[in-house]
Amino acid sequence: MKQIKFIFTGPPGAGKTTAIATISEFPPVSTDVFSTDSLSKLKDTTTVAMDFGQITLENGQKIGLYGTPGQRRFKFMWDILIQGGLGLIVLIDNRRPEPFKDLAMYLDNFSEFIEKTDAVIGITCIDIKDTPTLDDYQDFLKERGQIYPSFAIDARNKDDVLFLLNTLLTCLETS
Amino acid sequence: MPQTLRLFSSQLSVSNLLTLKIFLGLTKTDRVAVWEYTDDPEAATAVLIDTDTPEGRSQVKEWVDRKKSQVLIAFSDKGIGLPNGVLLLSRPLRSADLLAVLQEAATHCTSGSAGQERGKSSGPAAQVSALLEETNTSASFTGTGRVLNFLYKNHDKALKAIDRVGRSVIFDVWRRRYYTINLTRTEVEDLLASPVRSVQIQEMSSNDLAKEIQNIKAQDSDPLFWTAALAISNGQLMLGLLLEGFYKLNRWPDLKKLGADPLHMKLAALLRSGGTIDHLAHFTKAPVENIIDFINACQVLHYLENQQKSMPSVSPVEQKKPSEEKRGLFARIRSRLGI
Amino acid sequence: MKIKKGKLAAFFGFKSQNQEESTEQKSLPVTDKPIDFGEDIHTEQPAVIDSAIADSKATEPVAINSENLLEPSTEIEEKTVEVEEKATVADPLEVEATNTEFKMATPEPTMDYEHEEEHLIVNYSKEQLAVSEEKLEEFMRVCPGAYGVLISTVDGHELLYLVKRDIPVHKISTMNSSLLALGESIARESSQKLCQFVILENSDGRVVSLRINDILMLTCISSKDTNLGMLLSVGRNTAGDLMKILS
Repeated sequence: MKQIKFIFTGPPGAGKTTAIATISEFPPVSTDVFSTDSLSKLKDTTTVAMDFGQITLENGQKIGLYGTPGQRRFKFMWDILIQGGLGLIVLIDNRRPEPFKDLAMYLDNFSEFIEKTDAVIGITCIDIKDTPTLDDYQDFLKERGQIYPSFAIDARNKDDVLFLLNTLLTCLETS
Repeated sequence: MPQTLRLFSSQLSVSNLLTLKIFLGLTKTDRVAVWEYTDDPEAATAVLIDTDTPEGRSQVKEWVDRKKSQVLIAFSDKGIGLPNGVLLLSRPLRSADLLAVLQEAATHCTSGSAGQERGKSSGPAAQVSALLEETNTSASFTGTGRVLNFLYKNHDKALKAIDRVGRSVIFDVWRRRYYTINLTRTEVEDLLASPVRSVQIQEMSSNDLAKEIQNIKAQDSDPLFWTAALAISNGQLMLGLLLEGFYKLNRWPDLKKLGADPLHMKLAALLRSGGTIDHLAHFTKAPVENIIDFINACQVLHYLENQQKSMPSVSPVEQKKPSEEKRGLFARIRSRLGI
Repeated sequence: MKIKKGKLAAFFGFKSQNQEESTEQKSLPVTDKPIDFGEDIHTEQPAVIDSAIADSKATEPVAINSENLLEPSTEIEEKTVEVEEKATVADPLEVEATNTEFKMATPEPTMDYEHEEEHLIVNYSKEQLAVSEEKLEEFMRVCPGAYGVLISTVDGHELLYLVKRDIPVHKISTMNSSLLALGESIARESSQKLCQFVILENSDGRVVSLRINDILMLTCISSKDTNLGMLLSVGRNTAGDLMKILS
């Protein structure tokens, strides 16, 4: 049976591992190691290969939930992980210094994949740092001529993660 | 002085007729137009016909054909297939809906003859129009339609709305916030759905706004406007929107905040590339009225691109047909995740 | 034989050095198809020797500080630098070596997405690094087929390396960090303890990765001239020595 998967991407610390853990039917397999650069100010560890979670459908089909490493130096892993991907969930950490730049980078780097599938955007930690606002993100996307579903989410909240997935599925149904 | 206007009805059930007469009494305090019931169709300013009966439908057609001067109001569940220019009063009969339609009827009555009557001082239409113009130049606003439509048109202002019993709500429309200390969310929704004339609306300077909202918690007006727009839409497009228009989103509505209605999600996804109401209805298999409700709500929150009157030869929506296999897979994923 | 030595510029505040010992230049095919690799890396930024910093901090640990780094040059489109005997380059990845000149790739300003993460927080003294470098040289001597040995952080930043061929050190560091982490995860999922080596056995060589400590790893690249047992044994000893030096 063909492997089907959703891809979670975004900068380090945005909540990819957490989001996958929230909905996976087993604790996700992670490849986290100590971070040795400035990221360690935000978190002790970082994903260097992938996170892997799974859900099994009623007919036995497995849906993979793959998280990419956040840093761009791991782009080779992104290209490997998107193979067979159904769609992309981009998580953006609002606390980072330039979240728009982050968003642009992920949308640009995954543009071919998004073109073939679709993407949704979850903004995390907007409760900790309230600017830029969700409207600002929408304006930013509008300037780029893009309309992607974008929501403020808490990656620890199952309903929030499911809402993102549901929206992505709806978009996929129309594309 | 308010102008007295008369309403005649046809094909209404006895209970609806009784209710109608009671509701007309609510216009007694209106500063612009007071409505009375009349049994004489020729003396009426407006005629209300129940078009959910075959007789009612043929009466409307006949009335339109005879090009009578009265404003026609159709009382109907769906209002599909109504001739142009006929106003719709949705079933069941509700006071807020009736008052809004009567206001629109008063305006139609004035604007319908405005072209010919402008400059003349005689005739009821000219008097209503004059009164409207007069009140619009004063510190507080009056106008036509519902409070929500009024706020939509004044999206760059801060406005204070005071209801009949003196309770107030401040709308900082530009910043999409509202402030109130004595109205519940439902009451503010009702206020938004009520006719402008039943509410006193004042524009606020930025200084006044800052002073008045000092100790009041700001609330997000988007969900409020969204809910109100859906509630009062009744399958009728807002003024300025066309049934055959081509609609496209300029940004994704925050449906997490506005209520995760599956149909709205699907419509938003389709409207990213745009489409007509017919195409959307065809694709989603949803009633046209529900799609119109969504379009209205998007318009109120400025989620729509400027409408294009001419429809592209092939609607982008038309091209989107997910395979059966994919649809099955998505359904299984949804079922597994409980979404 | 030509050996390239490198240190992560960000670690020291001055750039790494190439010491030419040979004219041998060979590229190492990493995969069949070219991998699109992120352009964000710090090593795009050619580092310069800041002698003042180097001298004053010769025996002290050098904290990583953006002030110690050269600002990226955005003016040059493609700059050709005449290389003297001790040519200084930022990173072999970004340098195409010819007989006597290096071409520097143009930094893409819009790609500087990861600058925040590239300033390493770990630091070592020059003495520690000098001793570590000796260990790498020893490794190369003992393993005749070895043509590359790298110390890098477990999250993919190269720290110190010695290569005899023109191989993309930064890519190798980053990819091996993923590989080692995957190997360790697979071991855990297979209910096995302590992943000691990740071994890539290829038709004409081997790549062996192993941990030095919690934050550092060693990658050994060799042709088939060194047998696997030897490579693993010397690799493990070198990692053990490095663990003591870089503790």
